[in-house]
Amino acid sequence: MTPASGIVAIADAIGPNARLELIAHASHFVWADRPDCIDLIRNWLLLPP
Amino acid sequence: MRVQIEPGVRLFVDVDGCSHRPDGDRLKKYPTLVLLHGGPGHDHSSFKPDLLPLAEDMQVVFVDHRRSDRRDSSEWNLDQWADDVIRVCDVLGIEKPFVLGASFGAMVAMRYLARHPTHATKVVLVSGTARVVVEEQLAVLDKRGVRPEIREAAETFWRNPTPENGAAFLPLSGPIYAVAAPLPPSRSVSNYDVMFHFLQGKCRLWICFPGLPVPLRPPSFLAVSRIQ
Repeated sequence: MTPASGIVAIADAIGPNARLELIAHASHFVWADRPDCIDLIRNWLLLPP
Repeated sequence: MRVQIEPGVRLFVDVDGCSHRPDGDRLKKYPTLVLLHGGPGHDHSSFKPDLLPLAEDMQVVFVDHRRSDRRDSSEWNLDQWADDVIRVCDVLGIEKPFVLGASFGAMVAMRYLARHPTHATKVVLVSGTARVVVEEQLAVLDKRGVRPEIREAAETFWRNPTPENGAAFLPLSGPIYAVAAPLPPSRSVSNYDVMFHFLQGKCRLWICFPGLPVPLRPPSFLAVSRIQ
């Protein structure tokens, strides 16, 4: 809908449980140009709590 | 398939990957990932086919947000969309899901986090926005050096998101969102009335987590394109 903004503020709001990744050379939907983002997300999701 | 989440409200849901899979002499339970798409007014098609590989390791549930133009537009608000995540999970028997929201879907996911902080196991926010601030968006375009006619159409639409201004801007908007080829719009079934309604409404005032700091419990992963 809009270019992302305030993402650092969002990470700060979530606090120590947040992991922030800035993806270079990526579109708004980051996986469109960087399919490795899928593995990044997958691996983080599957990490034990 | 469509599932009824409350009387008279049926949402389209698609599923890839079993929740229980053979593992030796038993069935192993796999986690479920609920995907919240962008827009608003678009559908889940922006996740396909890129996110389908996740179904190798989890059940992936694609949900189309509530957006029927036959219903009262007062239903098109973040609280409703956020609570719909709970309703869909309840109907489908999904407990402690992973939730991923992209673009507008990340705004819904943040609202869901704020209203239901213990519901998800983990949350992924992709290219989310805390609130719509036109000056910040234009600054991003200026930094990227987008063509003047695109910037002008974007500013006109973002400051006054009418259907007329949307008709002028949206066909030009691809380079704002995509480094390479933009998504084929023909894959999506869209209802732009929802987008105009949302952009003209409280999204400009909304802050993702009212009353900061909020002790959010689920670990959260934020991914955003560096160009944005």
